[in-house]
Amino acid sequence: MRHKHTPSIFSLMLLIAASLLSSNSLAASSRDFVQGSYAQIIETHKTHVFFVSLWSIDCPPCREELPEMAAYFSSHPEISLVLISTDGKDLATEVEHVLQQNGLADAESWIFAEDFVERLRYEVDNTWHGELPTSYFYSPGQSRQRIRGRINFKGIDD
Amino acid sequence: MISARGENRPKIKVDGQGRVHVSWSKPLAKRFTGDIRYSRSDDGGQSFINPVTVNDNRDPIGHRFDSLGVNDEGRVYIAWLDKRDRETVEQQGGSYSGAALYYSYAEPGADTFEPNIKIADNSCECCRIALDIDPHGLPVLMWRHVYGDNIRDHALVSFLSPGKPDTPVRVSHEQWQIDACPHHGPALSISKEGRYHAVWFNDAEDKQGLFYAYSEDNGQSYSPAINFGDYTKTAAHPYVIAVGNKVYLSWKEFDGKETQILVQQSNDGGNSWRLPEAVSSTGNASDHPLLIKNDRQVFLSWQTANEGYHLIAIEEAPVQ
Repeated sequence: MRHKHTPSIFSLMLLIAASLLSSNSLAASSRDFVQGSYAQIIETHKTHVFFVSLWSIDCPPCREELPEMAAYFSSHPEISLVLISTDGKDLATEVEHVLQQNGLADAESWIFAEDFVERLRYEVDNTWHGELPTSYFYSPGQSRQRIRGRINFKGIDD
Repeated sequence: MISARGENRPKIKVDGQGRVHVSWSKPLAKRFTGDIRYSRSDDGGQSFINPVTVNDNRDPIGHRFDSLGVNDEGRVYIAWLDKRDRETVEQQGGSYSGAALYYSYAEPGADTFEPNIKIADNSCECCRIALDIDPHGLPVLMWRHVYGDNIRDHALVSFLSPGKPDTPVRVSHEQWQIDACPHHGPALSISKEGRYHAVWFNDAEDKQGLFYAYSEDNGQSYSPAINFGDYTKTAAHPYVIAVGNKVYLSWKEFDGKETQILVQQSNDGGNSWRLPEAVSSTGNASDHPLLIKNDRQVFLSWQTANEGYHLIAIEEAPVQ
């Protein structure tokens, strides 16, 4: 019996190790948000309802919002979520880590990949001055709705 | 490590004796944590004293966004955003908006700072603090505050003595209600005659953009706020410097292609203004524009990715 058990525990451990490795390697990495990326996002999602959230690891209200956002969108798969981190690529590893911590590793994620942030922001919204979080709700055939600041996802009525 | 981002950057001041003072925020291992550090050179920058930590709470929490002022005698004032009270409240299960504004000072030539003084609870937590010296050699601080339910307007405090802050006064009333980080702090300049000149950004639905106001009674009351800059070009990061009756404003605008730095001048202490003038531009990334002065001239200090560092003497603008 003992002889039989040992290899099965071993294989179980191997299985766990393998799944950990694969979940790490499968974790989505953020795409480069550059000039033209915002138009590309709009074009990709234009046929359905989607939600864009601009955030930063350096923004405390964004960090408070992330887990609630994750919970909300996991129960609303009909709305696509697009996350755009304004942190810059030098902080990409930390951005991925924060997304994973908050259950958002699989969300569509972009990261500012140009230093000329004025131009990137302007392409999103020429009246947005960079305050975070800032979000946009898009619904086909309707003008987008800007939502400024942290959203109380728990308080949204279905 | 030294924090060196837009709103949270190292500071340098030179006093009347030629001593060079520097302060900075030193990030600790965890994000949003840091210590406020200070050093001084008594030999014109050849050597510096061992840096000292200014915050007397040494928990690995947020002590960041330092602001530095030095008066003519060399008394050093440092203010910063501090999370110690927030930590205490949250440990007890409560909630706390933003950070607290803390302050300390060191007598001329001293290597140690006085015990920390809390100026106010509930400052905004990611905006630079403005600090200037009044005609009595005492500091005046202006910061973005959180009033009530996330109304992020500006407050100012002057001092009765180095260790005695007066009661803070509300400066701006745009009522921008937002649970967000604007990353957009105010600026303050006090003329030798004692007029306080303040600029800030706010983005309430009906009152948007850059604002200027002055105070003639040591910050107790303010002129009606004047809106300046082009909001549709995301006018941002205002700065102000006063030299006698001359007051200069600077800010940044972006038109979709190019970033411009504009300067607007008043020759009568902020009562009337000439037309804004573009003094520099760039087609790539750039820092916030700052104004500095020596005995004779005001300069724009601006770093751009393409062109490098600019130090541009501000000429008189054409009469309106």
